[in-house]
Amino acid sequence: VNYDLLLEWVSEQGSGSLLSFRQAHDWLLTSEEGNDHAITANRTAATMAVLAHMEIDWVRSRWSAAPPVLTILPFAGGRSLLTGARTRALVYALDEETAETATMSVMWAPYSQRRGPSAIYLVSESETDIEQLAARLGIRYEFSVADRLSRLLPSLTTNAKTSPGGPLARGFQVDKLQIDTFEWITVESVETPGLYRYNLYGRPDFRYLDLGGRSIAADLATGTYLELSRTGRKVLAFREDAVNGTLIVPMGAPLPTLHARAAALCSGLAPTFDPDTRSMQYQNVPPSIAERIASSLNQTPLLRDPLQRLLSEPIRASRSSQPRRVGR
Amino acid sequence: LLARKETTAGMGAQTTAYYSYREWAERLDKRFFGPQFSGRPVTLFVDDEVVADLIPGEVAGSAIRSLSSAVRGRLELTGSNLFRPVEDDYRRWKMTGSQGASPSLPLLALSVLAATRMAREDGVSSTNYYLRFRQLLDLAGRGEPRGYGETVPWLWTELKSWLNALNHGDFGISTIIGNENFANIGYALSQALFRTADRQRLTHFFQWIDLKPGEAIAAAELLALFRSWAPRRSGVHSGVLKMAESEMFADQLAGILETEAHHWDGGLRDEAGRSLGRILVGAQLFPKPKLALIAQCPSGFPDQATFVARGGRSLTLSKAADGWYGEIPVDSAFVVEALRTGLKLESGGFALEYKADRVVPLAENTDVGYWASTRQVHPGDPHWILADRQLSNEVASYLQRHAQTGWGLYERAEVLAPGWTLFRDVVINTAPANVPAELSRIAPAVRERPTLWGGLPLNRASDTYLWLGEPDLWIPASFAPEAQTVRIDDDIRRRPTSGKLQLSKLGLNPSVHKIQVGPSHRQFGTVKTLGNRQAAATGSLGYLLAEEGGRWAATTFVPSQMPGGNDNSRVRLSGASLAQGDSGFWARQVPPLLLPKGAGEYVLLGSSPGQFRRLKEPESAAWLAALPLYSKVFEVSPEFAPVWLIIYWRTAPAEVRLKVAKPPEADPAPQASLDMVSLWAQTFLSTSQATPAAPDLWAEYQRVSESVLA
Repeated sequence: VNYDLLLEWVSEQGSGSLLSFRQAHDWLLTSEEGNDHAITANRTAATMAVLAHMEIDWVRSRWSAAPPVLTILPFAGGRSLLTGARTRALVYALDEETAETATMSVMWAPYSQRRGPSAIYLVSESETDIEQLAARLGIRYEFSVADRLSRLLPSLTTNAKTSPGGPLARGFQVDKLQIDTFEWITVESVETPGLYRYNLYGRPDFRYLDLGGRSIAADLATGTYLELSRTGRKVLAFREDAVNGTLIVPMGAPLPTLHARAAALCSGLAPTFDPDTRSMQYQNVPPSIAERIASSLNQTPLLRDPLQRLLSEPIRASRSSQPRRVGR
Repeated sequence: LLARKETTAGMGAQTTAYYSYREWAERLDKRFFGPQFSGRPVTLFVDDEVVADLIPGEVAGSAIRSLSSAVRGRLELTGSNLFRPVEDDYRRWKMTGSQGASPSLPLLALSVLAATRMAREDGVSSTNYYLRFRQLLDLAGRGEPRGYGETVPWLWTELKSWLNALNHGDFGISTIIGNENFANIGYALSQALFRTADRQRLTHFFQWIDLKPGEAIAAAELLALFRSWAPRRSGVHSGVLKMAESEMFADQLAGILETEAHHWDGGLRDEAGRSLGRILVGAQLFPKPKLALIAQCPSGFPDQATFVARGGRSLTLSKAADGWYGEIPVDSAFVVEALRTGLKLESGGFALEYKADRVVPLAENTDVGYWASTRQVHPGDPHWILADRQLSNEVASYLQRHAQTGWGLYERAEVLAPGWTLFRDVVINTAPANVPAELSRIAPAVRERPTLWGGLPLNRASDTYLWLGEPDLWIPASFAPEAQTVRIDDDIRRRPTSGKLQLSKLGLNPSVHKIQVGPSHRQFGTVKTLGNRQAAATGSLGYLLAEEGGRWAATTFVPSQMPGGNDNSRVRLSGASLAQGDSGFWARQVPPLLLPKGAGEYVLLGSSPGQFRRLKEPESAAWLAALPLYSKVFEVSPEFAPVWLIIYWRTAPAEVRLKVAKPPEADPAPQASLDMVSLWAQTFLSTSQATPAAPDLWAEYQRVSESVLA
């Protein structure tokens, strides 16, 4: 998929319905031979939200582009990142402002990714170059974005209290998450605590039932971590690298968008998939940010040894844990 | 003239009511024109059945004799123009204000009757027409009757003018159109081409081509589409089919279609003229497999009504949601029967219909909450396909060739609909050629005419796309098969055999582009950019922040609509952009610094004694090696705002850089240790530089340092 073209379209439009995004995405998907048809519009939208290019309201099926921002990455060799919306007018302006005839102190280049738009990195001689460039482009300069986001993460329990579940859809298949295997099993009734999934068209609807029998509207990620919290399971791991580290998240328990964004904006890159451990890996995450993410999700202490995490992981975390449509 | 008399005819006594010429004029006027037709196309279609219908209780032959007799009674059989008396009557009627029924109507109706009889039984030609016309009026001789060409065509144009110009369509809009090949009889033919029922079927034709009410479409394109539609599932009578095939009627037919299309209100009508709504078949699989019939409630339909099905069964339907009556309360056997044989429910001027088919595509229908029947598979969208089991092999073979992998059989289809097979998760994204008629509904088609599909459309205007996101052009195989080329601006290309032309692959410039396929014309534009560095609605979704336990935090895990668009008074986050509103909660955070690589050591000095940090260039992370651009700096995040940066180069003297021109504080920084205070002061006093940055300020810091050490 030509994710860069998709981001340009998202940026020029500003906002729209998820249907329009799906149509644009699927048209791009089918425009080229050899594209992986397992890529879904929802997954692409989620990745673009994690990379702070857009925000998605899954419940109302709307999206909006996120404001463009220039930020300096933490311990990334002085590189800055352009994130958010990327209209062609903005990129043309960026080209002009960083042309050799305009400046010798800032340069930029795209870095392509498999599952998302190219990351646009900039190098400069000083932080003020980036700040002034943002001002000339008319966009925001935010410093330490990943660090700031990690300080703003909502508390899992506080958030749950403020999200009472609405009426449940009827006539659809209902599945319950088996938290030890991250698999969904079809159930006949919604009675015991846990995370339930209603298979609506194209987009499943989730409800978390707490110990008191209270229904809470949750997205998949939040619901999963509520259940992990209730059962006392720790699944997030951190591997220290020479500089910063890698946050390791099991496929069955993807991070909520804000948490994932805080981790992804440490590098400007979408998480990579490790087939051996069936986990998503976020690079260049400072320990302090990883700790805050884990703390927000009641996942502290972080598992420091990947082997320890692997041993605690279910033996069969398989593809069937993916959401599916009725009858699939 | 005679008001009424009795005759005997044939072997048995038969009573025939004879009506005067004027009475016929009034009956025809009442039947075909009036306020009830305001703004709608009207046709003076007259055949044997219609004439009989105008005199209740009469058989067709008697009624026609009555009309013929009335018209013949107004002819001047010995003059140079047989029709002079009718023309004179008409002129008088027009001079006196055109009140009441036009005296031309019985004569014109008879001319249409001659045309319908000719079309039904003979080939269309002037000779055949005049033969029929003479027979009806009991006129001896052959060829054009005296005065026909002088009077009758003129009366047609007058009728058209009366409807459209004088009454502005208040009594109906004329569909009278001449024909170059038949100068005298063309007008009558224009009214004879379509029966009333055929005209009602045109509403189905317009829906079939996805015409939108008010949408402009060229007459020639309509004709090409009509020629594709009419022989298939149109239900129009054979005379119309014959005329559709003939080039002689092409312009006339195209004109009629254009008039009807122009005035189409978007609604469907059945053969009897009733407003028609659709019944869909819907499938639901949980908790139990279930098939249902779901009825539309189009605009204008009653909120509650009792509909009668064939066989007399009454069903009361109530509007459940906008546009829908919802599920029809019948059992599963009834549903399966309707699936096989179709269903029509009638209530006064309204009807609901499901047309049976052996292969039925189902698509997600969020309005009704079912996988519901849809007219046609759309490219790229997921569908289920309900197929008569006798056709399941053909369908499976077709899907094997054309569908994306991932489709399969729903195992419990027998429970859902005995005798049927359900294929699930079907996605087809090609336009297969030579699809058998019974599978035509699962051959993806965007529309039945050349259509722009996909692309990256922009909201700014319809048919405007982002450059390089040009849409695909879908050309159905059935559309104008004689057209073998596609013209794009000045470039002519071969028509794609796949039916899909990817315009984004053609390297088109950002501009307006015109496309022509046979009679079909399309136009779209592309722009490089809308010109905004940030689009208007950017940032309209995000997270509101609130104070929680002494810190600021997002109030939700998922984003929501931001209040007030660009109102930044509330603390909020969208993407990576933080709007702090009235709160200065980040004020204590210090921005990062970029320091040049290659030095042995770096020292940061703040404005307060004790704000001292010594550091070395960190090791470079491995993942950075893959990134583009070589960076000559590295980043640090100090705990205080540095005023001075001292770089201790390995082979050059130390370099002092001023970061912020801020005067020194006299008091040490809070929590600064004595050692740090001392290091801070000693650094100012021991560092020398040939050309110090801001020497006055540096001297001031040295004075404070001396004071601190003292």
